[in-house]
Amino acid sequence: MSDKRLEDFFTLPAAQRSQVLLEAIVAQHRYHFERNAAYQQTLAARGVGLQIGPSDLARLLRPAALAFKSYIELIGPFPQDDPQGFLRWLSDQLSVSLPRDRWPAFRRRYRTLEALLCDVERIYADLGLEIVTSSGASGRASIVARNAATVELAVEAFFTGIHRAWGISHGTAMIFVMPENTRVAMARVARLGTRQLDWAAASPVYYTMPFSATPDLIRIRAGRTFRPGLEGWIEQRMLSPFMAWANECQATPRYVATTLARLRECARTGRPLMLLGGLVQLHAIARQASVRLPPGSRVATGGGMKEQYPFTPAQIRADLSAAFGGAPVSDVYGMAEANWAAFECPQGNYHIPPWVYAVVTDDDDRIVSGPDATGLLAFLDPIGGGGLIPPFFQTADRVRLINGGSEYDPVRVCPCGYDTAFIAGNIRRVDLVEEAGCAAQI
Amino acid sequence: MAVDVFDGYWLPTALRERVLTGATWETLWLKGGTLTTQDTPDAVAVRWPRLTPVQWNTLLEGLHQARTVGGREVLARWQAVLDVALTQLTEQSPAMLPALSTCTGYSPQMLAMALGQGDLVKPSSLAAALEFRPTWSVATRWEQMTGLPGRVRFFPQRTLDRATSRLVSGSPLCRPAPPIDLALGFAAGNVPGTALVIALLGGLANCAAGDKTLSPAVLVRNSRHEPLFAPWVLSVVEAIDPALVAGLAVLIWDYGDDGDKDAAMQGELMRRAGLMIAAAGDDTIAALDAIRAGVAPTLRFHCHGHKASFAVVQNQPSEIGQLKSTIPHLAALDSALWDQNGCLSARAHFVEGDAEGYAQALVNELRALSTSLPRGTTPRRLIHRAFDAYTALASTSQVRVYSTYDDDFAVIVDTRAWNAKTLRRTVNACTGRVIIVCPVKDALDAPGFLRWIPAANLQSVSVALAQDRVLEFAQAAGACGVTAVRSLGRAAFPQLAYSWDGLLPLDMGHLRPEGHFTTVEFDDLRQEIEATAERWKL
Repeated sequence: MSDKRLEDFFTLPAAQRSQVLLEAIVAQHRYHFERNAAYQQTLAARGVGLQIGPSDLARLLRPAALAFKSYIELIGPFPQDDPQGFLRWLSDQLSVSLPRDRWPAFRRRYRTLEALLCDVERIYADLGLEIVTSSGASGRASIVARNAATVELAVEAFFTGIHRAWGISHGTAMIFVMPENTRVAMARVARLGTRQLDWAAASPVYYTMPFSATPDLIRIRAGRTFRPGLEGWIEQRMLSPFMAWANECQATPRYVATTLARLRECARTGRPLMLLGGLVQLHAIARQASVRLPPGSRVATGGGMKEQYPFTPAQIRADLSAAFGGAPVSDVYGMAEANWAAFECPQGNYHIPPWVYAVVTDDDDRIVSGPDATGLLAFLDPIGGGGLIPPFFQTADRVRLINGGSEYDPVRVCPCGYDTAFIAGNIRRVDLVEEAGCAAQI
Repeated sequence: MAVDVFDGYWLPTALRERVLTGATWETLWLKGGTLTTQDTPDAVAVRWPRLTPVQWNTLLEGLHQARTVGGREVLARWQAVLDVALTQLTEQSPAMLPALSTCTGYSPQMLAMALGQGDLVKPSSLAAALEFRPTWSVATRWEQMTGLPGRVRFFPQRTLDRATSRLVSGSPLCRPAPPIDLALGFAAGNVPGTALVIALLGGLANCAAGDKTLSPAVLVRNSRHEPLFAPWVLSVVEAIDPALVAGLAVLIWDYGDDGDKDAAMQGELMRRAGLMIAAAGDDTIAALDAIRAGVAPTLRFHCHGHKASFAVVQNQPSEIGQLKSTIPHLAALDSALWDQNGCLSARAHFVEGDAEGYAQALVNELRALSTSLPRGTTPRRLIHRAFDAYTALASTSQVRVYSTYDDDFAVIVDTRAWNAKTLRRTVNACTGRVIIVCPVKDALDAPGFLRWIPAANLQSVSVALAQDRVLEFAQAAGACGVTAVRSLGRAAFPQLAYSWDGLLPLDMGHLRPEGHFTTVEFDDLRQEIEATAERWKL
């Protein structure tokens, strides 16, 4: 595998960069194919073996949602009911061994998914497992494991990214409009990163959501998947409406007030800050009051729109800019399955880190050639993806990708000057056949 | 460079000049069943007129005045036109099929095959169906529509109607609807021909009013995604019998770029109409219904929203079992035609008997169809998703994937214990030539599965069963909400004389209690399967 560090890729010429990445992809494939049961099973069924050539690249890509939600079809949507089944599934997803002699240490059932995941982390503490989830807006979260090495890489990727793209570095206060205790990937990386980098030594780090957000609570609040039987009835009829009420009447006023207090505190001291949160959450703050943020500050949005909301992202961003004294408002594109994030530049483009080999695929799952290509975003992250899971995924996001993969046209480099592959324009989630007509999706 | 621009609308020749003078035009570009841009290579340009309120008035008045045909004469003339029209369409098809294929994304072979079955449209059968005057007894037993093979039964929606149907079994089930001047149609474009079917049915709305009453004018909203087929066929028909289509127009009437004006215009059309027939997605249906409820609450609305269909096969030694080599071929066609983009395509196949042998035979048939009836532009990604998802389950040894990743279809046998969620995910996965086989101990277990799907989303089941089990099966399936039972191999070719989503042709001109008709479209299933196999020798 490559001995390059993530930072090194910023200075590599484009042609050399893609060559290094392609070699690393081949090496990573061999490594994971020999160790990862789920990856091997999927690829072998696709007719891919240990040896691969350039034409096999598209076949290495597994749909992200499919890989990390596959437990649902195997053991059902509630792994806490079948910890042994979950361990079998998890074991198949990883390229490291989960020693089976510890499986008896798990309980026969857990009350919550969170309790089960905590036990996985505790019982395999020596592996440094950190289990993150997608935001779970559908009520069925992707469950993605990371280990100490991949967490370190994710932290490096995230904080290198915000430094390179936005100039955020030590000394900038961080205000995360997120719960401190959650498994949602971006929040988890933010928490681990600020700790790992000892961010708080130079500037304050705040989490302003006053509650924890376990996968179970997120599921109930999403209101789409409930436990069976009486427990589910209570979740659906009592807890979910209560949580919706509590969110609107209790949690929102509190996080709005807390965030505003932190913003004003930083404004008073003149300390630049980065305010990071979801569009809807940040909008609630912006609609409450205005705070002129100190120079060098930035508002960062992430996670897209997870729910029905009467304002468009563009309207929200305009409101945010107005409320925070014209501070730049930028978006972050990421997902639980990726060990990287793409940061929006002043041109409105999302820059993919240079160590990620990003491509788009067409409707037939072929890689679209050309330096300006549109299709479903897919990525191969052989350097930053770590050795725990094969980091080759296809997303469900339709994008226009410039200078992706081995394609490079110097004329198309983003005018912001940041010379990486980038996503131009909107990112659109593709879940269903668009023109279904009378053919039902039920 | 000059580009051919196709007309994506149809107006009677006599009205064209009067209506279209001064009209503005909307030109869109289509390729692979989706709207695209002018710079897309090989995209087809299609245009529609955008009419002003004055032009709409002129059109509606013109259609109203141009009507000269009514009663039984309508279908008799359609029947007379059909043979000549089919010949002409076949002659013209080499020129039209490439454009149709580009617009819809379906292969020319698939379109040609469908067009070649035009003789299955039988206005004479439709005429026979219009004579059917059911009493409440049809809610208690399977009855025959005189002159037509098969059986029909009514499933009342209201509990009271179900309870009292025996007591009033001699009373008429339906009463004539008042004659109307205008029928509106709204056609989706996921499969070709919907606008034509709606145009034909809309013209029957005064069928209960006697032979002296003229058919209503019919105005069908054409699909932007499949805009060429109806105008082509109607042009051919007009050349043969202009009076037959003199009161018919196929246009765009949902411009979609000016919310209030758009809704007002649609509302005005609805106010003038007496019947609206829409085949579209549930969201579109709901939007139309919202306008209707606001401006024309008494307008009769026949809506055909999202539906799913299935196949049920007894694949074991029996009378039908002797047709073993034929069954997989017909079953493959039922899912391959229109690449499961239509409500008629069979999704899951419930199989009694040798499910594994059935699946393997399906693979062989679908491979052959890949050449003779190639799939269209439906994303192959959908097949790959199903392949990957079910491959991941193969370790449980309850799921087996029979196709390969490189096949342009997927065949999977899923022997897990199914529940409502499994069935829902299966239905959703079966798109683009994905067949999931569900083994059942008894073919009559299949309706038990279908019960998990909302009745409003169920449509038809194509079957290969022992003849003596057909009505028993149809009874159970109809009670779940299935509205048509047809022979295997005929899924994509329903007969207009039978139930379409619970409505019979007589429903165009009659009122009745809520509920649905379920029809069995054959008398002797074995004969029907043999005839279908003969027809589909590709």
